[in-house]
This record gives sequence, structure tokens and C-alpha cells, in this order.
Amino acid sequence: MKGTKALVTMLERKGIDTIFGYPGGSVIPIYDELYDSSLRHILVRHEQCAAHMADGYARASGRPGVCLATSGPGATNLVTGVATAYADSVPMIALTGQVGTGSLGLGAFQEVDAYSLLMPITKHNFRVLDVNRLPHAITEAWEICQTGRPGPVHIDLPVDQMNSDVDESVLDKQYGTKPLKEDLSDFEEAVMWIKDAKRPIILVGGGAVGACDEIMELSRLLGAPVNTTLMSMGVVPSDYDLCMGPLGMHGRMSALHAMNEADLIISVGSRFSDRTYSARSRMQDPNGKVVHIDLDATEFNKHKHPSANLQCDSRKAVRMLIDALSPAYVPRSEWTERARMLKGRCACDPDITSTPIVPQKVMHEINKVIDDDTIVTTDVGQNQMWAMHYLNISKPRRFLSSGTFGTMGYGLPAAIGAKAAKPDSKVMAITGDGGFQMVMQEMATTLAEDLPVTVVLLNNGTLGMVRQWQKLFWNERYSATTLKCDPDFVKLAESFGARGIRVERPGEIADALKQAMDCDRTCLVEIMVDPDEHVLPMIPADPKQNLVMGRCGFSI
Amino acid sequence: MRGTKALLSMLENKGVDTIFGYPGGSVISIYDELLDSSIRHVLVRHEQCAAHMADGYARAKGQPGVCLATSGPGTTNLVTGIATAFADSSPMIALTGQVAAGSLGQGAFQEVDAYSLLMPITKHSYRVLDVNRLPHAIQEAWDICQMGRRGPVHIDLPVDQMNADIDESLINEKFGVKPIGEDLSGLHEAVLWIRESKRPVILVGGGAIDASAEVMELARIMKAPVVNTLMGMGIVPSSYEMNMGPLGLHGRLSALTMSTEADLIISIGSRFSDRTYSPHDRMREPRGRVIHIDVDATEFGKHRHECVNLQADAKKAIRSLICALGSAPLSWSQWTEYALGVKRSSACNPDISCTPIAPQKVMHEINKVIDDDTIVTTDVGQNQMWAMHYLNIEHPRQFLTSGTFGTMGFGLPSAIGAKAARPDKKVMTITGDGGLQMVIQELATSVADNLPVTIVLLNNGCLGMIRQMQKYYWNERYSAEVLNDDPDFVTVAKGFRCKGIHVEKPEEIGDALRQAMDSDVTTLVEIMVDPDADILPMLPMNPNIPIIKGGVHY
Repeated sequence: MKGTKALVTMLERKGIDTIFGYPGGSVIPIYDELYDSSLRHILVRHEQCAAHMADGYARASGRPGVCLATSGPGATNLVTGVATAYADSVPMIALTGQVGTGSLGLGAFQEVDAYSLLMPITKHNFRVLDVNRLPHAITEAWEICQTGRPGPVHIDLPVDQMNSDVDESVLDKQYGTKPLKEDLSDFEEAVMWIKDAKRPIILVGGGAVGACDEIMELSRLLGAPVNTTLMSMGVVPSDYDLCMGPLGMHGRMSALHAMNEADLIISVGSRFSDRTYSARSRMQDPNGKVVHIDLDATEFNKHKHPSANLQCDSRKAVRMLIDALSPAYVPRSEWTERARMLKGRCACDPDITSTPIVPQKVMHEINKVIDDDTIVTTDVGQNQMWAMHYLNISKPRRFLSSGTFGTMGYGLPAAIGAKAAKPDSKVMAITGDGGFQMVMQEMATTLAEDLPVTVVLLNNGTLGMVRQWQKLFWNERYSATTLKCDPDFVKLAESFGARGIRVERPGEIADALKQAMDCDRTCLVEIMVDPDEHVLPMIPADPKQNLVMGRCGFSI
Repeated sequence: MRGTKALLSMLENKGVDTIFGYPGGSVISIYDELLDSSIRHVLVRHEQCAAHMADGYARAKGQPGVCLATSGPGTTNLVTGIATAFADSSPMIALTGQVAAGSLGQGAFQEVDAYSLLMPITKHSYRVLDVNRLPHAIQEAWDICQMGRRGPVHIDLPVDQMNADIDESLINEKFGVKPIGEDLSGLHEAVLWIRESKRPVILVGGGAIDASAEVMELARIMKAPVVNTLMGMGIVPSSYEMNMGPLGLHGRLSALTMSTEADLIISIGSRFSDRTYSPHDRMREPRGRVIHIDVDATEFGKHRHECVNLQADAKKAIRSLICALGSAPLSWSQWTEYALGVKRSSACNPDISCTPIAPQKVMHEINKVIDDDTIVTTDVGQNQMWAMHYLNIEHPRQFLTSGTFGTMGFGLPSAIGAKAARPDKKVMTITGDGGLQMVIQELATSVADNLPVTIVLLNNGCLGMIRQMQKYYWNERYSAEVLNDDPDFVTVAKGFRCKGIHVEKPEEIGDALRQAMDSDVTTLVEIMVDPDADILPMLPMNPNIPIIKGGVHY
């Protein structure tokens, strides 16, 4: 059996239905094999977006996404997308073509040492120097990318091996399963701390995505408020009365105060990132403690509080805690009331009807058109932070955003990948003029592959987040943040065969969004927004710096 | 003095006039400093193109190009462009922001281990963990990227160090000069081999780019036929009567004939890449010899002929060779006559007037509008190979293309970079619908920064080179090569405030090109070409498959 056929067969057997890719010399044999395969191949227009699409597919479905590129520039073009997935712990398999094994290291056409190159940004790498090792690579890659803390795995495929024959029996060979490391030795201490705490708070991160029910149960049991991070939007529904919203630099004031006042944090799958947990947003109680649930032990103790660490799958750990605490646990009703009060105070009205349009208004209108099944992706920058701050998300895997890496351009291809994973769901990408321009060629992909999405483009003609920092911290010295000669985005969308609607007045937003969401073709809604509207409140990391409140009128 | 000011002052002192970049959190302080600097900053729309522009600048000007990106995704976006420059030995300095030294390794926002990441694709890397080491990094980077075999050097700049103060006296500190390896011990033998040969050929590669005059002198003294690689276009003018054209996968059959029938190849700055030198066009003579002039000794011996290697700068090596050859006359008049005859009989007429338009016709028309003051860049694939095969290039640094890495999307940004380097020149890029789509956002850059270029888009609605390979080697099983839903490129161009001209008839090409070249605004000339047009002749990698000539009569 030829190597390419073995490759494709094994992928099919794993239940993979989609590959996002772009052809090139060293992968033509694979592409020839795909011609006869049941796998759906989605031809992108730039390999970076093949990786982003595989990423969006994985986040939306919970299954690994697969991308394929040729050697050399094909592989290097994948780097940003693979790094984005690595940073956010997304399961992915990145397949790259490679020159023949006999040519390695001789500077062949389109040769790059992909194995070394991708090492800092993957969980693991394989280079199939012998086609008989191909099944091993695929089986292991499939497991590694999903076990423990998920992440991308890279497989480099030299073309001569792909063209060689492999013994068919090798395909079914079993390889040892990787043990999942667990350490619950701090469990008793954790339970004791929770029982003693007066103001417990639950912090859920991206790692909690499989434990939503358990977290709700724990929160109700303890009467403990829940803070989310950017990565965990929807793990508890926004409208849950103890959901304080996202914590962090552009998070909710309710979340900030609840965290400041807590004396015990139960962190489920959050890594206390520098954006979420800073000197200003951290628990202020000098004796405050942390019960930290995470699969990756390297993330423990960064917060520098006393910590009971449970290295364990989040669902299992939370279930164990619930069983150990109930029914004897008595909720701290005063604290619970305080949390409800904080949430009640943190309720501004984003329905601002001024012109130029302010993005809060856009978020307000988006909330009206999205439902529990809509998948929303964001790009990076102000658009991302407005979405995080204002959108009501009720379920996990509905809000996909490049959190740790902050990759501009993520929004559109992630939406396309999500649509491929969930064709029955409506998908919306919220983006800015900067990020959209980086990946706009993928408009062709959405149409050519019939993966319609709604693109909400907040056009302020600038790189808004950088400009905001230059205004607040650099004396308004605006350097390289004005995007002169932004194209006419509506014309651009139409030139690809998509629909385009431009909105300049707040009263028009709702209608435009509705049209776009009802349309069965990709529709770009370009909303001209005020370049001087900043994402606020802004909670600087340095406690000595004042909060920048803007329109936020939160007070207690 | 603050680190950012030291950085920019040092670059200014080196003569850097342009930086291609894109801002982000960890480089805001550098961007603030740029406002007060004499260095021109060109804001791109995707960092990949910042690197390609710096590369185009370097290739056009012969000076290092500089690009700047933020940490994390900004840095990873540079990877393809840096790898492209590395593969083609283009001098470049890639500056990347980085999280504060104290945050390294903790998974900070937009953090990536850029130092390790870029190692396989750079000549050298620096990470300035202490601002007092910044001058060292810049001095050395400037040297290393230009000496010996040129290439990109990466400097990672943690933001806290950039914001820290540096002792001003360190800026002028001198650091040791790096020695270049040289070995001309084979000179005597080389001269003997030249005198003994009967059928010598000169092979000119990218490494000879600054030795054009010396190469011509040697060529004239020897009256030997000259063949070039893709990277060596223009080092010997196309119009030189003994120039047999490009050798290789899609090269000229005249070049192939000379190469196969030679008994001595004098290779200057060519590395015998697998695209140039393959079983089909390799020297047949079993005792064929190679005199190999290259500054990088790791490239010697790959061709597996008997060889004498001269490790030195091309200029110096050729001067030494000419000197050592002395004044005793050299003559291979039969071989010379034969070469001229081969060149004559292999000349085809690309003025084909069929519809749909044949790309050869486009190249024919382009030849009429380009002159000594034009720089041409190409993208990758069929468009690139047609350009290599048909265009008349008279000068070095006039034809810029991604040879070794074959990076789609190279064409437009490298043209913009070349224009920034040589605003006095007219710049044209030849590209396809696949490659242009990858970088189309840079139309905004060319307009916003007033760097107008002419874009000749050969639109065949597919990934042509892949299609061609699938046609000849995979039984016409066309998989993933059709670009459905290509945008309306002219509308896109106009949306970016460029001009756009759509051409469907062969007789309209000349006029459209002239309009575009005369315009002072970026103009896209979209030429609809036949998707079944193949770039031939083609030398299959498998020596058992005969050369595919198509309609070629030679």
C-alpha cells in the first residue's frame, strides 16, 4: 500500500472528515490520494488560514483539526496558526510535505527544517524518515494532541516515503497508550480550605470547557461567584446570577471586585495568565489561598498564593470536590449576596445611539441576534475586548478567540473552520479593519467551499488597541496606527461574490445584522465606528496606576 | 539614553533609511521612538510582507533590508519572509519585540520563543537580555548579514530592556571584525583545467551578483558560452551574444545543450541547485570537470564531478583567475561557433496572437516596455518560469524572484520594497491569481506609502504549476488546483484606490502595459490567460522520463 494511501486511510479511520490545506510540489502525491478519499479537503488561499481553520474546527467541535501544507514556504506559512493553537491548547495535527529523505539538508527547492522550526510551538513532532514508521506517527500524534493539555502535533512527510510502499499490516498495529499524569495528594487540604473559606470564588479558564455542569453545581453548592477568562466564555452562562463575567485587563468590574475581595480561589483550568490575573486584579487578602485544578503541572504556583494543586481532569476534580463537600457545606450567604449586588451594579446600558457609532451599541445589537447555538469568533484587539466584555454567551465552544497568542486575522478563518465543524450552526466573526485585511483572501474560500459566515467588521480606520495605548500612555503620539487607504470593504466583499452591507447609523445595525444572519451566503457587515471610542474600563496591571473608566459608571 | 533611542541611532548611523514593520504591544516604545527618527517607516498590512519588502529592498539596493514586528504572532508572521531571504542569501535584519526579560518562559501574552524558532532560517540570532548588549547585537548583526554568504540575522528585543537606559558610550564601542574563510589554493590547477578544456561553459548564479563586470570580462576573454540560473538573471545581459539563457527545469534548450555537451563548467556563485542542475541537463562528459567559485564552502562537491574549488568572493576569485590565466590566447572557435548556432536555432517567437491569451505573448509585450530603468519581480509558479524563460534582463538586481524557497506572494511586496530602495526606477511585478491573493492587502501599503508599482496578473483561475504537474505526471487528476471564486481583481484594485485594467485580447496587452508603466499610481493589469498553457520545455526530475517539449521546435 502506498504511503499516501496509508496516511489517508488512517486519518479516515480516526474519524477525520475535513482537512484544510494548500497544495505544492512535495504534497502532490497526497493530493492525488485525496482525490479518491472520503475526506473533505478545503482549499484555502493562504496556509496561515488552513491552520486557523483547523483551529476553529477543533474549538467548535472538541475534535482535533487537521491542516496540510507543502514543504518550505507552505510549512513556514503554517507557523503562526500552529503557534496560535499551541498557545491556546487546541488539539491539531499539522501535516507538512518535505523533500525526499535523500535531499534533506542539501538546500533543495522549497526545503526547510520544519521539524526544528516547529519545535517551540508544538506539543510534539514527527518526521517520517521511513514510511513504515508512518502509522506510529499518526497514532501517537492523534493521541498526544488530545491527551492531557491538548495542543498541536506536527508530522513532516518526506515525499519519497509518501511514494513508497508500506506493509499494510502495520496500519493496525497498536502502540502503548500514554499515561495521563494525575496528582491528587493535595485533595484533603483543598477540601479543608474550601470549608474554612469565607469568601470563595471560582475562576474558570479554557481548561474547564468539559466541566460546565460540575462547575455550576459547585457554584450553587458553595454560593460562590464565578469569574471567567477570555478563554472560558460560556462555560457558565452569562445570565447565571452568580456569573461575574470575565476577569482581567478589560474585564468586568463585578469580576474585579469579587476577585479582589475573595479569600479563596478555586481555579478550574485557568492558568492565571498575565492578562487575567495581575497585581491589580488579583485576590487582595494577604492570607488568601488557591485550590488549583489543572492538567498541566507547569502552570501551578505562578500566582504566588499558598496553593493546593490538583493535577487532574477538571470534570473529575470538581466532581470529587462536590462529593466531599456536600451535603454538609453551608453557603456563606452574606458573600453570595455581596456577589449578587456586585453583579447588579455592573450592568451598564450599551444601547448608546450616538454617531459615529460606538462599538458597545454594536455588541448590544449582536446580543439580540445571536442565540445559544450561534458560534462567535473574534479577531484581536479592541474588537475582541468589546466582544468579551459585552456579549452574552451561554454555552462553551460558542466564543472562539485567540487569547494567549493574540493573533490578528484569527477571526474569519476560525469562523470558516467552525462552520465546517458545525454546518447547522450560524457563525459570526467579529473583526476589525486591520485583522480582516490580513486574511481577506479567505472570503474566496467561504464562497468556493460553501461555508457561509457573517463578518461583522468594526471599521475605525486604525489599529485601535495600539492607538488606545498610545493615547493613554504615550501622550497621543500616534505612530503607525492609522490604516491609510483602507479598501472599500463592501466592494471588496462583493468582488469575491459575497454580500456586503455598510452601516453608518446606529439605527441601521439591527437590520443589517439580521439580513446577514439570514443570508445563506457569506455577508460582510461593515460598521463604521468611532476611532476615539476606547475599550474601557481598563484595569492596568500596575496597582499604582489608576483605572481608566471611560463611560463605565460602576461604583459601590 | 533609552534602549529604543540607542537602537534607532545605531541603525541611522549604519545608513538605514527604511524599516518595514507593523506595531504591537511589545514594540510600542520603538514605534514611539520612530516618530523622532529620520528612518522612514513603511506600515505594511501583514508582517509576512514586511519581511518580503525588506528582502526586495535588499535585492534591489545591495544593502541590508530591515523589518520590525511585535512579539508572538508578529514574529511568527515574519517566518516565511525570513526563510525566503535565508534561502536566497539576501542580507536582512529582522527585529522582533519580545515580552519583558522577567516574563520569558511564563506563557505571557503574545510570547513565543523567537530565538529558537528563527534559528533554522537565519544566519545568526541575538536576544538582548541586557540593554548594554544591544550595541554588540546591532554591530555584529550588520556585519554578519552582509559578509561571506549573505543572509538574515534576527534580533529579539525584550520590551523592558528597550525601555531601560543604556550607557551612551557603548554605542560607539568597536567589536572584532569577523574573518571570511578564503581558499584560492586551487587557482593554478583551475588555470590548467581551463587551458586543457575543449568545451568550457560559464555558469552564473546569484552569488555573482556584484561581479557582473568581472564575469563579462572572463566571458569575453574565453569567448565561452554563458548560462545562468534563476538567481543569476541579468548578471550577464540577455543581449550578450554568448548568453545561452537560463539553465534548468524550465530553462532554455540552448542552455541545456551547452551544459550537457560541456567538458568544463566554471561555476560562479551557483550552488548547482536541484532545479538548475538535474540528471537531464547535467554535463555528460564522464571526465567533465568543474571549477567552482563560491564564498560558501558547504556548497562544494554536490555536483559529483571532478572539481577545483575556489572559496572566495566572486569578484576577487575571477580577478585572480584572469590574472593567473595570463595573456596567452585562449580559443575554442569551433565551440564558440557551435554555441552561436545553437542559440540561433533555439530562438522561438513568443509573439503568439491566439485567444485565450498565451503567457508567452504577455512576456513578449513586457520585453517591449521594460528598459534599463525597470525592476521586475515575480511571484512563484508558472508566472515565474515564463518570466525567467522569456524576459530580456540586462542588469543585475533587475530581476528579483524567490528561487530557492519558491514563496508564493513574494512578487508584490518585493516590488514595493524595491521601489522604496530605488524610487527612481519603474517597478513591475509579474504574478498569478494564487500568489496575488495571498498578499493582496499590500495594495493598501503601496498606495498609503506612495510606492507605486505595476502589477501584471496572469489570471488563469488555477494554481497553474500544480495543474501542469498533475497533467503530465498524474493522469490529469486535478486535485485542489482550481481557484474557484477568484475575486474580481480589477474591482479589488479599485477598492484600494489603485488603477485596474482588464485584458482579454492579445492586441490589448501592449497598450495596457504602457498605461500602467506611465501611471504614477499602482496599476493592476489583469490578463486573462489560458489555464491550459503550459510552461515548456520541462525537465522531469526522473531521468527516465524524456524532456517534455510540447510545441517547442528545437
